[in-house]
Amino acid sequence: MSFLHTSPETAAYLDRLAPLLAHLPDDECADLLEELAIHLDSVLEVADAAGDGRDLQAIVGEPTQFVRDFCESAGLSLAPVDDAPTPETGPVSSSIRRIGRTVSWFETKILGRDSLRSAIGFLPELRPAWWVLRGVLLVMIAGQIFGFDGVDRWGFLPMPKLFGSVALGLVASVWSVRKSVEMGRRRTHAERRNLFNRGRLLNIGIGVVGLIILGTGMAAAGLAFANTGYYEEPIGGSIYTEAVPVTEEGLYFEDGPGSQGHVHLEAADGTDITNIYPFDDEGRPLSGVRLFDQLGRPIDNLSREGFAIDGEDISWTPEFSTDATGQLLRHRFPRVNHDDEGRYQESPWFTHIALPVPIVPAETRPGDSPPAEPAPIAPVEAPPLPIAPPGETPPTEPSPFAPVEAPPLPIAPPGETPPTEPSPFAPAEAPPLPIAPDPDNSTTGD
Amino acid sequence: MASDQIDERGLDTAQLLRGVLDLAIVAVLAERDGYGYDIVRRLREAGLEDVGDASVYGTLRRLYRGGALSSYVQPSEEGPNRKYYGLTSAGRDQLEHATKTWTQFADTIDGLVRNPRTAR
Repeated sequence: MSFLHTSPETAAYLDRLAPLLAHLPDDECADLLEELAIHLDSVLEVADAAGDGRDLQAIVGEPTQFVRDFCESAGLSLAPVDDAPTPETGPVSSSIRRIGRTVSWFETKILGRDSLRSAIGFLPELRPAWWVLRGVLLVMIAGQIFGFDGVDRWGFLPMPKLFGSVALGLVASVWSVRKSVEMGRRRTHAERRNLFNRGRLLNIGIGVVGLIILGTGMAAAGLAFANTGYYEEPIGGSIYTEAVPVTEEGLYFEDGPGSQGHVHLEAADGTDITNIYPFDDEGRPLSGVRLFDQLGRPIDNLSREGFAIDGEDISWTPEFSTDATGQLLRHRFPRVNHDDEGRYQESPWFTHIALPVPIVPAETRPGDSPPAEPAPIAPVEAPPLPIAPPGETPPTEPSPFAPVEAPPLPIAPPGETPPTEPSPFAPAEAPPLPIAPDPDNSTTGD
Repeated sequence: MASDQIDERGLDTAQLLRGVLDLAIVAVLAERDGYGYDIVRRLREAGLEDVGDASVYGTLRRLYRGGALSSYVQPSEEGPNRKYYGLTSAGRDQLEHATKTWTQFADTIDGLVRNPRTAR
């Protein structure tokens, strides 16, 4: 039997008393040990204050004598000598004894330290909080069992649900918390000190299962991927981005209602995607490309946070293109950025990395003889290519890398003629755009 | 405290105490309710310095089982909740009868000790 929340001396003494009292009914034994734990702690405190030391055996006598005096006074029989230590055999029993010895050692050597004792001594103060939490967790467990859904959330606050109803869950929680607190207050000290009693194991079970349900429920409700924050709208103001679940692709975060259904792109490693530089299948940069997602929504709400290059913080703001009427063309890429002072930033980070030129193995035309040697493979990293400034003629030199297939096309608006698939060997062209080219293409730095 | 202590005059005080411990505890609780350590302390302060912790707890259990005592748990500002004992009506009856018995017995012994020839 192990005892918590008592001095190590008392715990050690009670550990010696417990097997000598094992012949008593369980309830009586636990109740007596509970009383004695408080008593012996008081005895120790007084003896310590009087300078009489902390040797309980010297103060109250040997455990065997103590039990003998107790049993005689109580009119109880003494434990048979053979039964006193209650030796048990078998691998399970020896394992339990080994665990008990380890726990005792841990209590004496580790938990017995003053700093830890004071910290652990504070834990009982938290019991009422646990009673309340236990009540709520029980309702969540019941909700999970009977409704397959025990948790909802209001903002960041988890709410218990019962039969799919938060209101019912709250009502049940009030009742459950009250019962839980009553149970907690009724529970005896002996039960609390006994590390392996049924009540403690039940508490552990409720805690583990309840927290799993709470965690999974909150994750399902979106809090597991709580990414909230503010971002600036292109023209003034800011909008709070509400946390919502990540989609299966792990890429998109839907914005709050104020963002009008636009999407915010984030790379798989968590970094914000702040700009998109499209290239054709021969590695030539494209400009004026407009991007749409799989539902035909324009991708225009990329992050505008600053970043650092070589230790220097750089913050910048994207500038959106406009058409002839001045209407914003927000989903045109790549964007031109301006720093805080309005200076033009030509993709400050992009020039520091290799361009994502597609790597394509050599092709074999029908009827061709198979090559005697493996076709040459393109280098893994192509040298950075310069970005064509707006209005500049793209390079005409053909790329040595043949395309495999045309890049995926955005969803064409209804009624529009579907684009013809380009020949894999045709000169590079920008893929057809779902929206007619902007007549004012050169007015802004796309 | 070890039991069975015999003082220098050869009187087994521990045995004497065993015989009257029920009465002593009931008398202490008649004054006011108390918990185990408190009862031990009050007995010792009253002069029963050799009273053993284990004997007091054993006697409390026996009196409780016999219906002389009731118990209840009361929160303590200084530490964990304590189990208090108090007298029941049966306990008060027991105190009354035991007091009469003890008084008569003590008078008899006192008479014997003080004047052996007049004692009956």
